[in-house]
Amino acid sequence: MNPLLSMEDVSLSFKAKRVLDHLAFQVERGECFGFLGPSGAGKTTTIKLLTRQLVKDSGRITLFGRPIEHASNADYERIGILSDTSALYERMSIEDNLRFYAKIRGVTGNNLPTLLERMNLADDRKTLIKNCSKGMRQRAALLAALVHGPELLFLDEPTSGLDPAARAEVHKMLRELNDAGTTVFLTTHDMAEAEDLCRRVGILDEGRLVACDAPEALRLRFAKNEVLMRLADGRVVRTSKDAAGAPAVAEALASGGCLSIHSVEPNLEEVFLELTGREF
Amino acid sequence: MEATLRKTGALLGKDLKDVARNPTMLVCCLLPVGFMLFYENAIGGGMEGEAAEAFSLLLVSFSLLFTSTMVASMATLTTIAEEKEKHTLRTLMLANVSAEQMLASRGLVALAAIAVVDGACYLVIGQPLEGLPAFVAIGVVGSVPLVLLSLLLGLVARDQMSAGVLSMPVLILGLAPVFAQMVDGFSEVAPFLPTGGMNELGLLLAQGDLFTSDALVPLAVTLAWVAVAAVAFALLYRRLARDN
Repeated sequence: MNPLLSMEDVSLSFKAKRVLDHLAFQVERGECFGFLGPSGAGKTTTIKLLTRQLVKDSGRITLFGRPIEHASNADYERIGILSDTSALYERMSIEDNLRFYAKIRGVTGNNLPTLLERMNLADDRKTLIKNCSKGMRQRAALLAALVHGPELLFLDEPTSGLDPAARAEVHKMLRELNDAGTTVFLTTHDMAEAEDLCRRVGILDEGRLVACDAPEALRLRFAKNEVLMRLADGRVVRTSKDAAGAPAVAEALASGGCLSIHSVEPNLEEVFLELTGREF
Repeated sequence: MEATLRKTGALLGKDLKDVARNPTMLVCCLLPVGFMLFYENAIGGGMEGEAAEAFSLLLVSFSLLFTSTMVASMATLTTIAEEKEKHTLRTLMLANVSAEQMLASRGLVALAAIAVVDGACYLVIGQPLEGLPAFVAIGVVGSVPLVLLSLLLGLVARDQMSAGVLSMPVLILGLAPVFAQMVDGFSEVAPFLPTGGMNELGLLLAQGDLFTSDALVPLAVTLAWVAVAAVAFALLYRRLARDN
């Protein structure tokens, strides 16, 4: 395996406070990797380390297969970043901002009409950023990070503050980008978003990575020994999913009145609770 | 190198357009011209003889010093602080733009604005047209120390509010030669201040003595301040850029 980026035993402290504690994970090419955790867990700090905004105290970070200390400007041209504070120029229109970033990135910007269309901003392309809603600004900032077609995309809370429709637009676009081969590194405190978008997630708590796996695998790992059957007469029957519960399941199926049967699995918030003993 | 030129060029285009869009920048550029229009028409109009000549020299001084300090201190410093305050600077840095490229663009735009405003002031105060290129050149070269100082202070400023405070020393330093005639003994020191040489060269131009040996000392003072500012900028830039 040759990961696109990796962290090995990375620690970082701000004065006496340890904000990242022996962090280790890797992200494969073409993967959508979610970094989950409550506010202050170290998600943004991790992105800052990976994008040269901060320098680690110890450990090893690799980007495009080489130590981050040796990553060149050309390597960073292959990256797109949407930070938690990304902002565009207020006295310029959405389109002018994107054309400006296209020039900065050395691309023609021929893809701008398509990008604007996909983000539902085509009709507003002449609107000045200062007259845009928060959702429009966020979507425009995301496009600015995408204008050069990056191989690797860092997104720090990309849907924070967006309404459900705008979130759906962003999710759709991220899925399309990921399907087209763009590697996505996403931080979020929205568990549903991570489950929806990410092939694997890392769960961060107070600077420590407490779990790293596929969302489905994490949920199965912490699944309860219980199945839930919904019967035609309106009853909901719970039984264990091991051998002891088999007769009850068999009986329900034999009666022909079983509408549904499924195992009881936790969502990622409950997984977090199981792992840390604390509410998310 | 090609990427650096491309990025600096893109920034330059954006910053040049911003001169007309940014109210702070626009006011800083229009104020010196407005002042000169006012002084020339409201005060200077009724003067004759030696008084008119002395007033004309005063306006030459005012044109150079007002333009240099207002555009450098207010416009350059405030616009960098605005970029920091509104997080557009961080977004630029994350797009692989370096602080050097951003500062080069801001500095060049400030000098271009100074050239245009100096030219406009020169025409407004009714000086002979043939002196215009020399006047603009004096204004631009003489403003380099203040522009470099303002770029450094722009890195230090956290927001536009702190930029207002930080611009005060630049304003005082830049406008100091104006007060040379008002404070006892200060006229001996004023020609050696950062804008003092520029001011003296402007006065010599207005008197028709620019291309004489009298211009050597102010020229040397101007170039010395440009060199000092460039060295100080190079020394301080790395630390300030990293910390801020």
